[in-house]
Amino acid sequence: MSEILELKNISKSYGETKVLDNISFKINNNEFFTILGSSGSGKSTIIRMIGGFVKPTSGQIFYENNIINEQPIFKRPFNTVFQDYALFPNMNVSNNVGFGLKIKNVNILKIKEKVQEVLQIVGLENFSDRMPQELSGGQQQRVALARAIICEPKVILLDEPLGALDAELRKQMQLFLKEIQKKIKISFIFITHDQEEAIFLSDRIAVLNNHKFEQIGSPKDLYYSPKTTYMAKFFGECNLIACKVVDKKMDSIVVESEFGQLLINHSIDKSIGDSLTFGIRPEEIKILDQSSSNSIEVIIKDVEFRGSTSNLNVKSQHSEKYLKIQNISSNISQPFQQDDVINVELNTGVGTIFKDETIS
Amino acid sequence: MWNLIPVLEQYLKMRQLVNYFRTSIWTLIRFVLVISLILIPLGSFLSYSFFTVDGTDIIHEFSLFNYQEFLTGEIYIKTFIRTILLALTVMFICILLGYPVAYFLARYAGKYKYSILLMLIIPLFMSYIIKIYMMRSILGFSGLINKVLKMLGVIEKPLEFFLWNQNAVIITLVVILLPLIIIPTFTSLEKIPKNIIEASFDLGCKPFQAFRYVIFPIGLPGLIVGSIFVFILALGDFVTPQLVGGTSGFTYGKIIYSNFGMAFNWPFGAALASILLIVSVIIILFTNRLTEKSKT
Amino acid sequence: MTKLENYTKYVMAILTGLIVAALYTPIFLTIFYSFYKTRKGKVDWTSFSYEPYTKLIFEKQILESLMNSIYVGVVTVICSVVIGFYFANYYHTSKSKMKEFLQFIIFLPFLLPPIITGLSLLIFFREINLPRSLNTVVIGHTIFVLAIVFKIILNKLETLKPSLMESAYDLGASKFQAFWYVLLPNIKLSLIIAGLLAFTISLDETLITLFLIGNDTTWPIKLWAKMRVGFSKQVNASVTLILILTSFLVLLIASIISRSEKKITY
Repeated sequence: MSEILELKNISKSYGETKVLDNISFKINNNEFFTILGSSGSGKSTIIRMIGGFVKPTSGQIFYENNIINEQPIFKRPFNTVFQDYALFPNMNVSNNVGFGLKIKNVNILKIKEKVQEVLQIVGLENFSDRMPQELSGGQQQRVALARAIICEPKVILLDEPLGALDAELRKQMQLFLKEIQKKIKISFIFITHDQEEAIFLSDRIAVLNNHKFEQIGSPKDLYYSPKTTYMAKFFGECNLIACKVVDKKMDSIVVESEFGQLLINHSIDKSIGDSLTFGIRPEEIKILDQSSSNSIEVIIKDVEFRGSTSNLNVKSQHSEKYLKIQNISSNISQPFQQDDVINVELNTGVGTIFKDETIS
Repeated sequence: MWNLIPVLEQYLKMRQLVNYFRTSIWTLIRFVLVISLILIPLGSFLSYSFFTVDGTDIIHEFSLFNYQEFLTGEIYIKTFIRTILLALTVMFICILLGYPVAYFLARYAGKYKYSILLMLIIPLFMSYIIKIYMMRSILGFSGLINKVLKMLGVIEKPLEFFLWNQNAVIITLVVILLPLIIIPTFTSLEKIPKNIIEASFDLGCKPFQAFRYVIFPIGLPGLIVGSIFVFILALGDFVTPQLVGGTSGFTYGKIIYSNFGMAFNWPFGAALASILLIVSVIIILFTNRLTEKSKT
Repeated sequence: MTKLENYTKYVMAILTGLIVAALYTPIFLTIFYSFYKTRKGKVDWTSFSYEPYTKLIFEKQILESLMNSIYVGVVTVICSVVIGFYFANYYHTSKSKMKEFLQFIIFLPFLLPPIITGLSLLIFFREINLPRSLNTVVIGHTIFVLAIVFKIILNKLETLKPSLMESAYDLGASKFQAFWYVLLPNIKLSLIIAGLLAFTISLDETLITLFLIGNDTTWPIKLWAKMRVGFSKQVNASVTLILILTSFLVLLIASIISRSEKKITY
């Protein structure tokens, strides 16, 4: 069993205000798991519940198949890296890092040994006698991480640890965190609101929206197989087209949309006359020299020159709807003028059908 | 045209000179003020201790007579040490009672903490003399404490334990000075960020360990400041023994004061007070050092 | 929270309650004795009356001492705020090492036992042949409260953005104009708080006053004198009224502070 931590049907309300609504997920061994959401979306609440600082209003937290809802903070086998590091101002780096072991009454010499070990992992071997107030933000952060690592927890919880760092340092620390996690093989649960950060660091991402998880999956899963239109528009861009089924075949359906008739190469259990939404990424639309069996005609409204590639904004012949096309080789788009009519083909095979959502 | 340049230079130099004077006058005023109002009186006070009296005249001649008197007259050293012990007792009782209150307010009182703190501050502004005088009604033979104890059946006859002795002075000083230790202790405990306490739990501390290794050390400077303040005020107080001390509860402060009253031996009083001054200054400087170190 | 923690929490709460009660007992007794009389240690429950309060306005001596105390308080406030501001400003803008020494000297009269401050001024005034009076009391009080006023104003100065004054100079203001139009309005609040605090402290200050007063009486001195004779209902009544006044001042200060913290500060 590679999963070690599970949250099942967790909800949290403060009085009348609901902060989390029926959250469930599992954490595997040696995994970098990110919870992604905007500020105030409740993501900190989730890891505070795991750490034991907050009690869920309903639901269970399982660790190795035992319910640990009632377990006090100091008994839980998890350690937290706080958003503002929370280093003890009355102790130097060495004592800060070794604190977790000191409480467990580990032998003093052993503590010293382990502290040096861990400080080496985070690259601060020469800082053991400094006081926290003398360190820069990035250094304080690494001490906070070392302090958590030394206790060898099963999961390390990181509460937006890179929020206070400037852009340059942030990129360095992202790389650092990813490498460390792979090195020490402890699962990380990482909180952030930064999409790029999440995509770069994580094995799996859980997107928090409206107090619920919109979707959980690897970065590629979320990008290529979004489950809702919200997710489709969340990572990168996505063209959403309203369609009505007019014909159904074995492996495909034909739909009528505001851009004309489209052949979608998916089999799906919808009947003729049903409505659905079709999503296609801007980089999956091809420009053709002439019409083909599955092409549609569109009017060019904008050409965005971006160097070797360009982006296009095109309008439907039949309605006021627009499509975005990205990553066109600039030598193809060079001669295009506004109001030109061109033929494009949608790579429907990699598009996504959203069965239950309709857009106007 | 070119003649203007040297003139300009001269003008600017003059402006600089005037400015320099201006700032140095201000510096002078600044230091004169401070020195004349604080240092000189202290200085004259110290120098007085080296003078002697002759009837009602003060002989402005240097002499170590007063200090000799202090060292040889047993009573003075004895009272001084007694008063130090008294002040220490008051300080420790205040720490014992005051720290839990400050801790409770800082950690557990939530939204009520400032209201309760305010309630503790207001008695400080009540007339000092009346407060002490009222302690008589509380501590006395027919006072509140004895009445309550009798009501509860703890004693048969009222106790003399509480009034007209050293105990009365101690109890009264504690009642007066307690808020003064609670305020700084509370302030430094309250400043401890919540996430530092959470971090200590996260790393495996049980509540008492969190207190011992994290909360108490970080809150210590406030406690020290408050304690020293209480100690020094208790050391120099002379009204309390006058009002509740009776014959056996008198302090060093009272002896100093009496030398400025009927006895009219100002130089001697000054000498006694100088000793108090030096002890106080040493304690203040020492505490300064202590709290400076932990206040990075 | 563990059971032990819960238990200690309740014990501390009870202790706090007891201590608050203990601290307020002298206050309640004073109020009580302003309405009732005691005879031979027993309360005379029939002696309730409002008279001490109503007759107070006619008690010339008490009123006079109150007036004197207010005079001393007001002048102390003016002197200490002006001098305190001057030194706070100097400390804030100066880079010299002398300023630490200066701060230490300013704090000295407040930290030392009041008896020493009082005595040193007493001796000093005698040596320069300055007769004791209400004004010598003012000097004594000013020196005493200077430390607090200084610290309060300094704290506020240090939290002000330096760019505030810089932009004033940048726009052409002279030193005085910058001070009057920019600095003062922004530290107004702390000046008020410091002033109120200085007044409240001066009102009740006893130890230093005892040494520095001449033939006039101020309020605490009146009480000191009455103390020998024993306190009448009237004295208790006046103490109660003063207590109400100072409590009001303290609550006023507290509400000013809490309101200013809710305002948006730069």
